[in-house]
Amino acid sequence: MRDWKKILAFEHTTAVRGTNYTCGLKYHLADYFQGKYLIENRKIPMSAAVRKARAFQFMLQNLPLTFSADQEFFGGAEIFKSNQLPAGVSEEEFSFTTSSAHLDYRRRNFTAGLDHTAVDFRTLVTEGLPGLMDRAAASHAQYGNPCTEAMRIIAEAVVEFFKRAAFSCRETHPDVSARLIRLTQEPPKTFADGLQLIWLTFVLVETDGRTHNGLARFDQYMYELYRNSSISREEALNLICHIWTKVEGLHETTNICIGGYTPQGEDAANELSVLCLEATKQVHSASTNLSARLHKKTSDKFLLDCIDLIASGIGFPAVFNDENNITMLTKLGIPIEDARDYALFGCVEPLIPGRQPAWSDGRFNMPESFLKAVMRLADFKSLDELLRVFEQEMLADMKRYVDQYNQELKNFSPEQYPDPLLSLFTRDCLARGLDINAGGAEFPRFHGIGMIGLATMTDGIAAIDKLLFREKKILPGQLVNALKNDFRDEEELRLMLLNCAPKYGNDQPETNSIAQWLVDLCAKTAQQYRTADGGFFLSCIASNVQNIGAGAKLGATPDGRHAGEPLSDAASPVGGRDRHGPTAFVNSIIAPDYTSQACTVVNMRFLPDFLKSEAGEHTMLTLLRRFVAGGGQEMQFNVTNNAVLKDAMKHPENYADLIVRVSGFSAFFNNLSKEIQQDIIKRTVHGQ
Amino acid sequence: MGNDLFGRVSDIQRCCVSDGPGIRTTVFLQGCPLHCPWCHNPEFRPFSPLHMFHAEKCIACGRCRKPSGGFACVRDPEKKCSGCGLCEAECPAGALSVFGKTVSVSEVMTTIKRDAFYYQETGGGLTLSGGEPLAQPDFAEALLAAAKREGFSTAVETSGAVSNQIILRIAEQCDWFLFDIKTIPEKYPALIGVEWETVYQNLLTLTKVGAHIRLRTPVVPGFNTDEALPELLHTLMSLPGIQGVDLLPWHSMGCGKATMSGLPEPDWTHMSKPSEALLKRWNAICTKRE
Repeated sequence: MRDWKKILAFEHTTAVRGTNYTCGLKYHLADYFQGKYLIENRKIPMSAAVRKARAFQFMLQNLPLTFSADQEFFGGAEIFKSNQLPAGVSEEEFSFTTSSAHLDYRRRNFTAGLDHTAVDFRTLVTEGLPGLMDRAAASHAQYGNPCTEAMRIIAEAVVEFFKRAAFSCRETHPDVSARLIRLTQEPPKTFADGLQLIWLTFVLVETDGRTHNGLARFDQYMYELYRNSSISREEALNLICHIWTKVEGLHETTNICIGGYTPQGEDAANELSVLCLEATKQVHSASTNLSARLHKKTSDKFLLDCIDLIASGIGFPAVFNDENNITMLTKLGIPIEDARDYALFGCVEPLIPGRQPAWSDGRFNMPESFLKAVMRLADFKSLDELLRVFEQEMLADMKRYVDQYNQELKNFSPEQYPDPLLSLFTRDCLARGLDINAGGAEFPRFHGIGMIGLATMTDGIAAIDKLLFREKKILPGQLVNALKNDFRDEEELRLMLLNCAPKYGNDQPETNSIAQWLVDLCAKTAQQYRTADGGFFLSCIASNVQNIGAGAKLGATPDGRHAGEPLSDAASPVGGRDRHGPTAFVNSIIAPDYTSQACTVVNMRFLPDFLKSEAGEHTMLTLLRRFVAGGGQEMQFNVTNNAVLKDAMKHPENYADLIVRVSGFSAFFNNLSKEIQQDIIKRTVHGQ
Repeated sequence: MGNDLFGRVSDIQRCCVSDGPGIRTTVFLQGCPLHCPWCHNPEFRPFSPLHMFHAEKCIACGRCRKPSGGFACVRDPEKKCSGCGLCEAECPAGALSVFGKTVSVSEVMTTIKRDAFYYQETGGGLTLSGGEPLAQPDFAEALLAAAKREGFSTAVETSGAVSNQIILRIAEQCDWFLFDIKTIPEKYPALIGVEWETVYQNLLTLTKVGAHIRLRTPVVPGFNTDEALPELLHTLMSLPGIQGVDLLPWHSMGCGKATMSGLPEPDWTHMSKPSEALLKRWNAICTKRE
């Protein structure tokens, strides 16, 4: 049997730490071959779409067909990236040929919609490559435009590539070779055939300089093939591990979505969903970004399976609330059956897979707008007046953001920057004879505006409300000056802001309602605008790690935060300020209405031992039920190890919310004496 | 409820998973008549309120002592803490914690009700602890009754060192008793400060009225590790309604808290954690079958 563990060991060696967006392999062969075509044919007149398609075709005709003995499925980073130059090509020639400085790849950028998307896997596994070829031919016969011609060229090139790959491995992997040939002749009939089809297609999309794409609802579109194959559970798990191993080889975030509702509104979690959890545990890769969709009909069994993986400390799956997200999507006019079929891309970004242009997003520094209003505090008689001015500042800043985005989008017109590859695999582009970015996709574009600093804002507003307007313990001028001077000689004032006003994350009505108001304001402000091509601007209470960079540039804030310190992380409370345990935490983070946000990120931490105890597991189950019933949007879990505990001992101020199991009870880590802390650290960590 | 009862509360902890079934909110009531030498919550023991001072956090701003604030009691041994909590609220550095604040049943219930969802899902609810919660019987009874009216499970963690009438009244409102058996009968008066007979009769009363009971025993080597103790627990286990026994190994959590609260620090020098072997053996004795 081919051993994925050997492949995994190899893939680990190709990773270059610290580079997020590129695989460790040095030479981007796909760029080289496309570049070679573009240079050699630059004088031949062609439409932009056809030129792109021909370059892609040329690339597929020339990519090396690397395939190692232990691989079960053909395809991976090795076919389009390498540590060796192509035969007979010098370093200089390679870098000249791939240089985008003089070459016109006509690639869109992330902002204009390049990646963070999925192909329409559902249609692909149903109709197979022959079906795709037929539809591409019919579309071109009907419309006969550059776009349909380009799509047809790519469809043929893909089929030819499957044949080339089959030929190359006919002796080393005869079974795989036969499978690749079968796939060019008929739709997949077995689970393994289906996996080869979706995986190689996924890789081909990646070759085109695209990253962070998703496998979408893998457990749904693969389920029928799984059920109809005479394959044992263990065999299926082994095959999935092979795919996950190749995902690791891409060294980037590949989102895989499991669970959720079926388009008809039934519980979609199945045996395959559970196998995905198991494979994720076994392969233990940081790249298989597993997303579990939860809802009111999710079974305890599936929840416990998810918790089991979370408890392993890997951070997967992140959990998403269907009750919330489907409402969000239908409010945008997406029919309920399609809304129920959403999947996640990149980190947490929602799209209807294979039916929309690619996702894009940017960041919006909310506290920056807020500080502009705060600097005029002396003019305001009430909190309300302050907040009205903040709203105006935010609206003006949002207008600038939106205008800038739309200008960027216009710079990438579908005519000049066509995308025949994604168009071919996106529902209705062939039927409409249109490019994905020119109205070919079934549903409009989503552009997410990542709103930074929800909790920083909430805590700041709560402090001003209480200490300045209600208790009048602080004067407006005093606060403004203190903020300008980063609290120099005003430590007492800073500590008052920090300790004498309520903080988000503790389930207090004051802060919960401020957060609620802010989240509503974000949605309302963003949704006033539409993208230049008729899509949606949607706010997200998610900011990846940009809260750190945004904070570094920003002055002190009225929540007692020093200038330059990170802003609060996504939709989470400010680290260390939530001190009333998990139920208060969850009650707080579900308080806002998240049915108008594209996405949210909430980070919650647990100690491994807590989740491994029966009481802890059931507490987690109940927290997740609360999250679903109460209208949360997303949560992810950090299950902490000893390295963190040791750091917590050195820097307790950063760890006020860390909960540990002590003996017959649980306690906050910081509330324990040094001796107990050391005692806990000393306990054997099993399972390493 | 016409009149809202008030009591002295030390602390409220949400999401407790070891104080009875399900997810619970544990309310610690101030004051305990006993003097267990190993007490790990010495700051909850006095019946009068007190403040704990975290010297390392104090920035010496003096806000806590401003006479105009009317709470010049702070850290002045001549003046008694009234439990008003103003110093805690005013302290910018978070250096003061007040225990034994006067709080009403409805105020406590407001906090408890925020986790109603979790109680309903897990069969959890309210647990009263302390201190000795039944030393404030009216307040305790009112809290339990209010929780019951909301449909929450109720539990009390008690030493049993109260009058029999009180136990009977509380049993009406309480689903679970976490009942302490602290040592062998002969040692009770000197070591703990109550007659065993009082505790034992209360336990018997509870078994007769059909209460659910878990026995709890702190295990403190050199103080209560008489071999007769697990045998006693084993005998008590056969009483009706006793659901099990929890052996709670001694830990050093209580060290330093008394000093920070201006109380005489107990002598910890002879206390240590029991060995795993002892706990295992005791557990076996407690649960053995005849």
